[in-house]
Amino acid sequence: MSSRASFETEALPHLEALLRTAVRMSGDRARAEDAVQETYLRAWRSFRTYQPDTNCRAWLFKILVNVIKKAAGKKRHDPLAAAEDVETTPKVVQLFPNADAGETQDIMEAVQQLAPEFRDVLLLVVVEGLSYKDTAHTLDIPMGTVMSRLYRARREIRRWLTMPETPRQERKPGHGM
Amino acid sequence: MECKDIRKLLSPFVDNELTAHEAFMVAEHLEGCAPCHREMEEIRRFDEQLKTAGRQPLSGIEDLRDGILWRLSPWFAVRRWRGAGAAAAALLFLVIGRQLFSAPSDPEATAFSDALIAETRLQQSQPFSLSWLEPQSVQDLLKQEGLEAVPNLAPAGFHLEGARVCYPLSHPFVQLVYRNRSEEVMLFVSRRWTRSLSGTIKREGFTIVPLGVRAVFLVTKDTLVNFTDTRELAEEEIGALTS
Repeated sequence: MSSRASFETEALPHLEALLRTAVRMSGDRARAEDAVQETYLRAWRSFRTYQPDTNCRAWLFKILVNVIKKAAGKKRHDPLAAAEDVETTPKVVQLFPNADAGETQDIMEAVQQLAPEFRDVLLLVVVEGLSYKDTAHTLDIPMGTVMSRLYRARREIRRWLTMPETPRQERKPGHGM
Repeated sequence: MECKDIRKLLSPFVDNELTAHEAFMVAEHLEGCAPCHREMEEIRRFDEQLKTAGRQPLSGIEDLRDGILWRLSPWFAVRRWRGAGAAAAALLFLVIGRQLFSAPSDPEATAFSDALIAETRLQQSQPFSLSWLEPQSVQDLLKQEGLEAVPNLAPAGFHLEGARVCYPLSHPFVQLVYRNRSEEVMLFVSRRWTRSLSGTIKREGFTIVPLGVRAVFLVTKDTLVNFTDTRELAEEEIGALTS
């Protein structure tokens, strides 16, 4: 099989997964499409180093996250992840930074209101089916951080969705966890 | 383990991320603990909801796929070309390095032809440029430059691989890149370029041909096998498409 055919067979089937993740991470369809195109261009450039039968999906997600981070001008290092791994660090992380912005019973809207650090882990593991190891590699964070963020994100969204009668401002989800 | 310890493991338990020993301990606990079992079922239900909501089909996927393949097409071709003709490419590199033809006597023509050659070489040395235009942009820009459509050189065996905007002598041109299995032809188009070449120029291993109207120039290597037919076809196309 030619390298082009191999690329089309291995890499292009993940296009929709990459796009929906990019839309949710960047918050904008046009920017997401640019990021996905750039991801495939970079992937093709280094496709000769790609090992067949390894996890192409995780490899593409890693490229995508780097592209989005670069576009957003963010540093690759995630200080929040480092802070969470230090036992003595007070774990005051706001899971819902925009909790006042709107109330919803829609699960995806609730996910979109999560802080990006938690949202991204939830999307990659639950929606896209990446392993903890691949998610940690993709987001450049330790595996322990993946586990803790996932645990907290699941718990808080479930609480958020199952307590509609309580004013959200009073509940202050995700504070002081 | 107590319930509070087990509950912290339920998330990796439903994700199959626990060791066999841990998974066994959690499963054993769940058999005898209704509240923890309920919690695990809630997590699974939540995950199913999230998967269903998160994997709703997106519109426009086919268009995006086509767009990506279009942008990748020159790169696919370049890799094929590189693989097939590495030795030939090395030989051509040596040939290009020498000035096989005398320079035109007009200094302005020399500068202009050098600029077109530089743009041609730039495209060849950076085939992975991200500056390819979208197909619709190519059509729109060519219309601005006085061409009704992209010239079709397929009868001479060349297909369009990509187009970009370049700036020889700081003047904007649309650069159309055509390729067959091992050769390359460029068309540089600009209605606003007011100076022309008096005729065909051969310089540094390249041939530069003004095509009927003063604003379109064909650039190719001197070694182009089917030069006469390609040139005539390009002239016919430009004549037919010029508005």
